[in-house]
Amino acid sequence: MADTAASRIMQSILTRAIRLYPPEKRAWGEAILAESNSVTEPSAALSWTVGGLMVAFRAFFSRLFRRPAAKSEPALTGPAQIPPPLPWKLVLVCLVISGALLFVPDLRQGLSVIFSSWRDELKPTDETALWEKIGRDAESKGDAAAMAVAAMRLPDPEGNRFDEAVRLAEHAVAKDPSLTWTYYFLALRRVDSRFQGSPHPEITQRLQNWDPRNAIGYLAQADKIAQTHEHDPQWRGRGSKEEKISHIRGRDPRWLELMGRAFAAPVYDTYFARRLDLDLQVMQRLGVIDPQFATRAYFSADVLPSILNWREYADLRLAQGEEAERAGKWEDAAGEYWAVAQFGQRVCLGHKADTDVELVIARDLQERSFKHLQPVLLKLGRAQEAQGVAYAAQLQHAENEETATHDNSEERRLLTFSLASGLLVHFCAILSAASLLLIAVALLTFAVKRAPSKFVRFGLTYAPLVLVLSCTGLLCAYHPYAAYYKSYLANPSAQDHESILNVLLVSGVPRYVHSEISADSHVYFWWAIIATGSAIAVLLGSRAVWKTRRRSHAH
Amino acid sequence: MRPVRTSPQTRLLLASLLAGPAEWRYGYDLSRETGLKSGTLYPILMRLAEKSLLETRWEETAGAGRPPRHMYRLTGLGQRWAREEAHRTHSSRALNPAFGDR
Repeated sequence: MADTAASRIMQSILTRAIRLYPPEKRAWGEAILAESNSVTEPSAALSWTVGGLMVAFRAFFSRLFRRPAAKSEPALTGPAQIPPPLPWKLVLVCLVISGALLFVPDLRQGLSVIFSSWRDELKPTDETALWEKIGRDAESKGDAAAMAVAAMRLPDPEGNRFDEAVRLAEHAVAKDPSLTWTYYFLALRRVDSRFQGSPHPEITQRLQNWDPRNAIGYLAQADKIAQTHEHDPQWRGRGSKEEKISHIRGRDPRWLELMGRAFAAPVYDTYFARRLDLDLQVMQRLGVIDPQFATRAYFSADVLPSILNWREYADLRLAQGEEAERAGKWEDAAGEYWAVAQFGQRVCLGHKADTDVELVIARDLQERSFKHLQPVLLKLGRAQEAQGVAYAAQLQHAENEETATHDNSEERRLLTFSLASGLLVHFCAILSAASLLLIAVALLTFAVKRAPSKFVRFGLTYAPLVLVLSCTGLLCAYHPYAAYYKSYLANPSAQDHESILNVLLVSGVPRYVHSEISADSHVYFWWAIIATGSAIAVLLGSRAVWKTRRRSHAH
Repeated sequence: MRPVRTSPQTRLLLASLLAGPAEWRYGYDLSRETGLKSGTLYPILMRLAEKSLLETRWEETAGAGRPPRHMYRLTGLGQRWAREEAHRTHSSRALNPAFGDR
C-alpha cells in the first residue's frame, strides 16, 4: 500500500481488526495486514481492507458457535487455548453500568410498563376488586374524593355493581357536595362499549338541580328516555326528511322538553377535566397508579351523551325554522337557527377532551344553521350580522376539513412512528430480561457443576454485554414517554389525545395490536418483518450449530 | 469423506497452488492470480491449513520497513487430495456436460 493518509487509515483498521481474532487464529490477521503492504492500487487496497475486516468479523463470530479446538488440530501460533469470549474487565464494566442504569427511574418504569402490558394481555387485571377495596377503605376513613373515584370506576363493562357505585357516590356527595358532578358518570354508564341511561333517575335529577345551567344533565335524562324507545320503529322513523322530522316531532314530550332545555342551557360541560384531575390525584395519593392505568384514565373520563339525539333535535329545530320562513315569520326562523348554532358553539367552547366526533358534529350544526341564518338576517335588514354569520359558516367548514386531514395524519403517525418506537421499546425490554435470565442460569450452572463450561463463559460474558446494550436502548427509546408521563401527571387535562394514544401504543403494543388497530392496517407489515427476521436468525443460528456439530463428528 | 468443501473458489485456488506445488506463494499473489478477494481467499486458506492440507510459514527476510509476509503451499496430503478433487470434477463434467461450477 502506498504511504498515504488513506493507506495508513486502512492499515490501522487492519491492525485493530487483529484483536477480533481468537489467539490461535491471530496470525491470519497479521498475514492479511502484512500482505496489504504489497497492494499498490487504492481501489485494490480498499477492497483488501474490507475483505480483511470481513475475515476478522467472521473469525470473531464463528468462535461463539464453535466447540473448543481439539489438541491435535494444527495451530499457527502456540498451543490452542480457548479464552473467555470477552475480557472479564469489560464484563465487569458492563455489569456495573447495567446496575447503575437499573437505578434510573425512567428505565425501571419502562421495564415495569412493558411487562405489565404483557401480563395484562395474558391475564387481565380485575380492577373491580381494587376499586371495591378502595371504596371500602375510603368509606371507613370518610375520604369523599376516593369514594367518588371508586364510585365512578366500580361498575364493570357489563354494568355490574352499579347499585354499590351509586351508594358510594351518594355517600361521597353527602360528605362533599362539590362532588355532585360525579353523578353524571353514573347517569350515563358504559355498558358493552355503549353509554346507557342510569337505572337511578334520581341521581340525574340531583345533577340537574346542582348544575341547572349545564346542558349535560338534561341530555343525560333525554338519553335515558330515548333508550327506552330503542326498539320502537315509530321513534326513529324511516323515509324522507319530512317523514323523519314528523317522527321526531311526535316523540315523547318529556324528551322534546329536555332537549329544548339542553339547547337553551348556557353551558356545556361533560366534567372531563374535573374527573381526570380527581382520578389521577386520588390514584397518586393512594399509590395505585402506573403509566398505563393513568393514561387509560383519560379515555374513561371522556363520557358523552348521545350525539344522535343532538342531531335529531337540531334537525327538528332547523325544520321548524324553515317552516317559520315559509310562513314569513323571519324573527321566529332566526330564533330557531340561532338556537342550533349557539348549542354547537357551546359544545365547542365546553369541549375539553379531544374527541373529534363531538367537535365535528358541533361544527356541522353551526355550519348548517349559519347557512340558513344568513338569508333570514338579510331579510330582516341585518346585513352586517349576516356577513359575520357567512364568515362563521366558512370557518366551521374549514375547521372540519382540517380535523379530517389531521385525523388521517394522526393515524399514519401512530401506525408508523409510535408503533416502531413501541416495538423497539418492547424488544429492548425483552432482551434485558432474557440476558438477566441467562446470567442467572449461567451462575446456577456454574454453582452446580463447579466448572466453567462454554455455556457458563458465554452466559457470564456476553449476557452482561447484551444487558447493557438493551438497557441503554430501552432508556433512550422510552425516555420521551417517561418525560411525557411526568407532564401528564402534573397537568392531566391539558394533554392532547394524540400524545396519550402515542404513549398507550408504545407501552401497550400487544393490547393495541389486538384491539385498537384494525385488521387491514400496516401493523401486519411490521409483524411480518419481525417474524421474517426472527425466522432468518433462527435459521442461521441452527445452521451454525449444525455445522459445528458436523465438524466435531468429522474429527 | 471429503475433508474440505470444494466450492468453485476452492477449486480455483487449488488449481493455482497445484500449478507450482513446491513454490511458496504469497496471499496477495494468489488473490491476483485467482481473482479472489481477501474476504474469500483467506477463509479458504484457513480451512485448508486447519485440515493440514496447506503449509504456512513466515518469510524469513523481509524488505526494509516491511513486516514479514505469510507464505503458503500445499502439503503432500494436500497435493494428493487436490489432484483427486480436480480429477473428480473433470470426470463429473465429462459424464454430465450440464454440470458446471454454478
